[in-house]
Amino acid sequence: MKIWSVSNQKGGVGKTTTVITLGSLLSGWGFRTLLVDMDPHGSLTSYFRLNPDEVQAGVYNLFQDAMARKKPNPEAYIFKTAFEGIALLPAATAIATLDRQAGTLEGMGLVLANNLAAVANEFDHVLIDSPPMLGVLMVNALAACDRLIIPVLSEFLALQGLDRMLRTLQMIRKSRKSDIHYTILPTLFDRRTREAQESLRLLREKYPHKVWDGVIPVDTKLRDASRAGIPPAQYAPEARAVTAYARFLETLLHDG
Amino acid sequence: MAKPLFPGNSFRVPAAALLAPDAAFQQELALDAYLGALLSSVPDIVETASEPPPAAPLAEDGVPAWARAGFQTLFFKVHGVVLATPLLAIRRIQDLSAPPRALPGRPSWLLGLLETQGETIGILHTAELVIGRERLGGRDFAERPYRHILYSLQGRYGFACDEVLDMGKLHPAEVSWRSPASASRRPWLAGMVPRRLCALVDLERLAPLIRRGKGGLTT
Repeated sequence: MKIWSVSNQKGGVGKTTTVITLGSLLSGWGFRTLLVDMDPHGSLTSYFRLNPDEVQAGVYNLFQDAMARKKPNPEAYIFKTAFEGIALLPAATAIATLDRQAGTLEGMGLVLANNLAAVANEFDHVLIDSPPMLGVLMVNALAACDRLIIPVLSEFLALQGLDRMLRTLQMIRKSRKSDIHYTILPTLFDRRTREAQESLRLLREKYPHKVWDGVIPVDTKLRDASRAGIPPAQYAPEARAVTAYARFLETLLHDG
Repeated sequence: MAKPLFPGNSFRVPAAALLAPDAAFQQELALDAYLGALLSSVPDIVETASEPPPAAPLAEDGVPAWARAGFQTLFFKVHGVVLATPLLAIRRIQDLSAPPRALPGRPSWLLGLLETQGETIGILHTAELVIGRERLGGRDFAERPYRHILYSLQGRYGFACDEVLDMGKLHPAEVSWRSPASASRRPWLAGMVPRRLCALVDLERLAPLIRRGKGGLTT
């Protein structure tokens, strides 16, 4: 089972869009895919028409069980969505309180990893939508993954945020004593603007070999898919952004 | 002439916005303790226990036995970094009035030997052990030497420091404890004192030779 986290400490860069689009492509290609919403905003959860304020079973329960020293039982909290091949571990708004409850408890950074290990035979791919803030939830998302995807906007301020994200990743690598491979994914790229072109050039210059050699273009079809509550690869398989994500996914699968 | 799209090297960060090296290091210690605790492996989780587990030297909350009732703490400064250590690990504090006797071929973390009260004590370069030699900047410790020594309880070492700040009692709930299980990196970092934003240091584990064997507040 491959586990990919999508994370950036800057918000609005397309994390949820990346998770749902890659997830829908993977399921369309026949892979059993689990999407995990670790963001208290619950955007991924809402995409599937669940209300994070009313979710009774999901990520929060994993931590409740861990704090009660129970054996991981994630199957009880995973939803089968209406879309074949896609399952969801949703977020409840209450997961925002976990930093206060579990943030200083030993081993609470490995709750998600331990639970995903328990379902390793049930899924081929897991995609984790990470929150935009360093805390127990992001630490779980980063500690659980084999590979990190960092969506980055093609703008100057985004480059500064990326440095911060990579410093956080470095600290987690040291604490885990293991490597986490990462790929930087330029998102919401508007080729009409000079700033986007220049930011992309700087990004590739500063992080050679870490930036995907394509871009995910601005595409209103992604927003339309979200409004319809249908994963992009099912809603608009020929959309420019979806075909770009498909090429990105091929790169990821090829890299292993 | 067109303005450059990005200022590049002409963009200067105001000096006040740059972190002093000691403040940056304190932040690094705080993150280290936080991540170390979150990512430490805990024993196998069992759903129920049929009988109570045997007593362990550390409670499940990570608080060492010696700290459970609260403990007196010494706060001190080393190269601008504020640290704390339980007073029970210190035998006495003394002003460093003369440089320790240097030994030929000594490791850089050993400043030298001091004869005091009929004993010969190794005086340790605490800043190098805690912060690391490469991050000490341009300070010449011969020109700006340490001013005090904290003598360890076991009596083999003295930990040089710049300033002794104050003492106070800490309740274990006032410390974010770090499990020894997570302590392969910086094993001397016992936890963080959020109220003072400083690291709690196990001095015995800081001494390089003692680190190889038993020692420290958790044994």
